[in-house]
Amino acid sequence: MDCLTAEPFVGMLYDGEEAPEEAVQHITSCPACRSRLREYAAIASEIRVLAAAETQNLRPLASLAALPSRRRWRFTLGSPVRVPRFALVMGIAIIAGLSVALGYFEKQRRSQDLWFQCDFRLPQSQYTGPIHPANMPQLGWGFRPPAMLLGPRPFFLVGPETQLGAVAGIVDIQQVRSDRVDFAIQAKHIDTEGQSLKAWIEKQRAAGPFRVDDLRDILAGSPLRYYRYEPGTMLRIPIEGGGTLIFHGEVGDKLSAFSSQEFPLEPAPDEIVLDQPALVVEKSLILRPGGAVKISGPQACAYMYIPGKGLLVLSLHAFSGAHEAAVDRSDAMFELDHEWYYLFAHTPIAGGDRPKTIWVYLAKNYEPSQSGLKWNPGNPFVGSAPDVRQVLAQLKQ
Amino acid sequence: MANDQTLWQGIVNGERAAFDALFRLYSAPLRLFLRRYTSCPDAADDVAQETFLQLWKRHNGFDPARGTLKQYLFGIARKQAVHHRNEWPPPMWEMASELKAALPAEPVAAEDRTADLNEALVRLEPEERALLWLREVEGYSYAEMADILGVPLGTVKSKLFSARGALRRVWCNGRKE
Repeated sequence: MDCLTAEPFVGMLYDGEEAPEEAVQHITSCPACRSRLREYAAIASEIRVLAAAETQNLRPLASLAALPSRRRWRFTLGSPVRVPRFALVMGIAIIAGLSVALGYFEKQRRSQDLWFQCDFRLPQSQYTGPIHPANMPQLGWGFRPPAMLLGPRPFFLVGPETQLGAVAGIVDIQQVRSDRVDFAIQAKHIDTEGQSLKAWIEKQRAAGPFRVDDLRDILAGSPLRYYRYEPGTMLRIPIEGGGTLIFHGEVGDKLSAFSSQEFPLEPAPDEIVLDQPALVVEKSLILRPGGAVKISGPQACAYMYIPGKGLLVLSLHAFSGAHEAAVDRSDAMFELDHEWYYLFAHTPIAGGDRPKTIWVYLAKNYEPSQSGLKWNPGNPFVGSAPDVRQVLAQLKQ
Repeated sequence: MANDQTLWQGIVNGERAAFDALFRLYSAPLRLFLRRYTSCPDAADDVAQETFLQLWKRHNGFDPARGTLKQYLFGIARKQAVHHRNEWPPPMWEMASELKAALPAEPVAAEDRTADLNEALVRLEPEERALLWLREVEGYSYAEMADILGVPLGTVKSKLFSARGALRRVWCNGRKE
């Protein structure tokens, strides 16, 4: 089966409907079809964001003073009707999903007009230091620049919702062939002085157009590294100031939607995956989709900093103070302090049983600034730790 | 929370409390669905009211063996919406989508993608919009959606495919800009 024949079945597979075995086999093994699957998941996630936002803005219907009595039966369809004023109920349900990550496109002007698509991200390793976005081992957000021609291009990897800058760099794609890509790269942690990356860049621009050369000044001292890259592989690139950057790209004869995040269609029973999680509390959309984190192992935990709420810690196993959360594919629902939380993501959150119970804890007293590093308390982030007990110990400090 | 059977029995018995509970549970999702289906918030609210009242009035149509009460409610709403549409001049319904369609396509930035998707949704056919909403927001299966919209299963598949294709084009354009 080819992609064209399988195309109508991608949506069916995504929806959990029965699709021909041959189509399923093709889709699950074909990068282009998997990419489409991820696009569907991303679109679905945005539709749910839309639903959450609309629910939030839904005005109550006018109150119905009296329902028509069925015994007297004077009600006439079409006559003016009044309906009771009630609290609104969230109307968001279950979907399954896959991940969408960040694309970076580079076009080769020669070599049969090949395209090279690549992206950068910080690795999915686990971190044991203070809970702070500047220490995040993984940042799901990045930049999505326009398609561009060969030559040096700046890039930034930023925290959730394009807020604080974490890493800046310049990548210079020099040659694209079907079997290899030559490029040079510089990457360095930058200090945005507590501002959002956008504000920081605007400040730089205030003095005039912000060019690659301006970034070169900022990156001064960080080594320029040269790579001969094999498309499709994951490359780890050292970042000046600590850590590594994950580089991944593919060469093709056309652009396609692209994702570096290969989060599983079905997480293992000992995994929690939060891929572009969004959060609705009661009927308010608190967090838009963003960020990505995966944990595995009995003691590991994921966490999300929710501005105005605190740090939400999620684990597969019960721990002191934790509440149950019911996970069904890419949705999780739980109640904390008499408020209903609805968490949804691009990919299934937990594997194994459906629905599955995971455990959540909200540290209301948590502030990102408590680690002593600058962070705008209005900016969310996600992260993970190998041992939930360490996180709890930190939160008690 | 009362289950479907209890709620329905209460409504059959003419209990106001059962009606109120049903309204509390389902009015918001129903109105959101109808907003998508009609593209007109006022029409959606009118249809939602008519739907609840019809359910109260004709309390013999729900069969738990065929689906949930919510699914039944959505099915009535869809029929009411068609009825409403036939009674009201089309411009009343189409105004919102026409206005939206007249808007120039704006550049897609990451933070605007929800808005862009919304625009794209508005441009879809009513049934395509409804299907996407029922699937992605309400989580209905194809068979349930076919029942709600009163269309064959094949139509559900083809319209969903077409709707997703249209949204995907918008989505991918945004990604590649």
